[in-house]
Amino acid sequence: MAETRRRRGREGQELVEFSMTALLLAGLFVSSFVTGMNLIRSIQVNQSCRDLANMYIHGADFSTYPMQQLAQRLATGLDLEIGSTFTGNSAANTSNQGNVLVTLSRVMYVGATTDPNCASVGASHCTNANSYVFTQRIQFGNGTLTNTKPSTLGNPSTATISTAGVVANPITDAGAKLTAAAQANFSALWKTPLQDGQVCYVVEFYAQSPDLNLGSFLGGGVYARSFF
Amino acid sequence: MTPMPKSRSRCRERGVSLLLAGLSLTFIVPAVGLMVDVSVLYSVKARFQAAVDGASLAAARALSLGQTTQAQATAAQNNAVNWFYANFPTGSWGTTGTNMSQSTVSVFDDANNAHVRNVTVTASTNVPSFFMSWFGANSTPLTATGNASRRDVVVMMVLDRSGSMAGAPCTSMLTAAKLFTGQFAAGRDQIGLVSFSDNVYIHSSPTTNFQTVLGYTNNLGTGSGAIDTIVCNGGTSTAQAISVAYNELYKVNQPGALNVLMFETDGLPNTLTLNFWDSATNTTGLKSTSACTDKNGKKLSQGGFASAAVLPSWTTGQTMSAGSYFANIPAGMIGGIYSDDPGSSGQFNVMYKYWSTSTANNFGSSTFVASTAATGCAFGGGKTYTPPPTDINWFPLKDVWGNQLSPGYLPVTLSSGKVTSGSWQSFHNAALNATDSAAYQARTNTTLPAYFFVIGLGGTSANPPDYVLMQRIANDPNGDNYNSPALYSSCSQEANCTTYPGQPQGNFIYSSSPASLSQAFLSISSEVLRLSK
Repeated sequence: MAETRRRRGREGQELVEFSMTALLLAGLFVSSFVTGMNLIRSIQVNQSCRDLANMYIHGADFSTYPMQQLAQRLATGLDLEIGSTFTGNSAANTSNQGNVLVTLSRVMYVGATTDPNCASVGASHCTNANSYVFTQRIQFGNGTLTNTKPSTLGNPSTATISTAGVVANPITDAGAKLTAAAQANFSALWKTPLQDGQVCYVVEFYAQSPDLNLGSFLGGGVYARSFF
Repeated sequence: MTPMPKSRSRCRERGVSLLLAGLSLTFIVPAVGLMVDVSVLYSVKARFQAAVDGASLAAARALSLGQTTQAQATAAQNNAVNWFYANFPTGSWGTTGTNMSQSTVSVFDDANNAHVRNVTVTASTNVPSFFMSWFGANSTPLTATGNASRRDVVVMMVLDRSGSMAGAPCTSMLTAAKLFTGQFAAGRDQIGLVSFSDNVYIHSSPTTNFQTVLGYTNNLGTGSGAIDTIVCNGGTSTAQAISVAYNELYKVNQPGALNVLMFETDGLPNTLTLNFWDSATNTTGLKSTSACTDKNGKKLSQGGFASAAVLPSWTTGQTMSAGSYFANIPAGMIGGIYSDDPGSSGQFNVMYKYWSTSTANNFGSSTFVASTAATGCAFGGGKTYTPPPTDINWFPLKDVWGNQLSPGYLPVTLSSGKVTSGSWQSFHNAALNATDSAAYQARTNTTLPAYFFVIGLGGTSANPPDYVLMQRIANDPNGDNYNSPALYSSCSQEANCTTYPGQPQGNFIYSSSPASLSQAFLSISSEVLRLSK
């Protein structure tokens, strides 16, 4: 009788122990998997960002469909969507779905009014003296992701820009200047101040990770930025 | 041995699963930790390598900064440090002991190509271990190396000093040209200058001392630099200018460098240098009614012009210097044909005594058309003709530089295998074709293929540059990337536009007014330097 009662008292004990262990291990494995996948994704995003920057600095025109396709192939698995084919140039191909937004910027430092860039337009017309200016901006992918991860450089939204993303008058167009905050951040990047006319090619690559979302723990996606 | 009571045995089984799980965790946790640490290491490595790559490319780009090669090397080192820390700030990912400074950036000449400078950037850091530090491995050392190179640049500037450029546009062009030369590496790069109107003047062959020779450091108009001496006047002998400029590149003969023709014009080609003697058939392009006479004083109708020996030698020919792309151009019946631009009266002006023997480059309109007529000929003295000209029956299929008048970009009327002299439109098209041909030959030369960067200037005349011709010269497949709205489409969408992916691809920029000309020149210099990496 007493034995039966004891046995009844132990009924489900293994189940509880197994459950506790399984809970621990499952949590460990799930978080390891998610972390691992995000790290793999992080590496891929960084590599893609670097490769795009390398091509960009060597003259690749990412406002054209073939080059955006190339970026898409580099980002295989990240779901970079660029829509249906187009001819010519589209520097703002952002009306797409998908999980990736790529932003390419060419930023130039305009020196003092006596420096060549200002001299080229006349010192009195040199609106953007002593400033960093956009000389090109190209974006493609899912444009809504700018709400989640806006470009750290801001946007030359009021500047006159061609379909290839080239800013028409970077020296005289006030809309080509980086925002005050971006100016400060950009200046802070350099250990030695840039000279007039020096150019920096910036590629920002953001991939959101809805499939690997662990709430606030690992849900923000992966962002990479390369200065070339 | 007394068997244990069942109840006690069962009691001892309690918690065994937990115990086993706990024991297994001592293996699982380090394994997971190792995985995480290695993953972090790979992430940092990717980031670190990207930073070093960015630094090396930026360093190579900075080799254009500075007036001496030492200053350029210092600029490269500073740039490398700048770009490295922009990409990989101190302490990124918890790294410690990051070592990257000017001293880890080396600039050196390429062992196999004297016209290439290399930059090697080396950086090291320690990547922290989050889990493996429990086992004494606090960090992992990481080293990355990046290489980049910069080719020296040999540039021939080809500047249009035709009459339509006179005044403010000419001044803008000279200012822009000076700014352009300031962007290149003195002592390593070489820049030369050719200007053209009806004729072509070689101001300077490519030289490493270009900033002094061309006058970059002078105030505009001081007259002490070659650029300062340009005066704008006359026609637009574009094909000849391209050929002569390319020949200067060819003579420098540095296939390991980046060879560039930087061509600026504000109008349409309207002048060709032609030889009116066909040596293959020993026939002349004179009309049978022409009063021109040969050396013996005989007209064509009198049996004159029967052989090369009796040609009147309208010019003294052109002796090419050693190493030239072109053979000597013999004396003969060489003359220039200038035609009005579209929308004008559609007339020709026939010139002779064509070559410049003067050191001056500012030929006035009376200089290129000799003040006395060629013996017996009706032309000379600034006379103009409604096609056909009084004396000339045909134009050859090639100009004296071998540039093809037909076939080509635009249709040309032929008669008996020659270009007819009876049509202004035909000659106009032929002038454009020859220009296109001159660029094509320079791009496709197997010894020294040249890149073309082209600036078209608008706002100075009723006949601005032909977009398609400019795209073809630059071999630029892109549409207008510099004006908004775009003024022309990509080459594939333009009629008669052809580009060749296998040939050097340059850029064409259209500057809609002289005010934006300097920006166009600076944009071109930026593109050239981008290619020089």
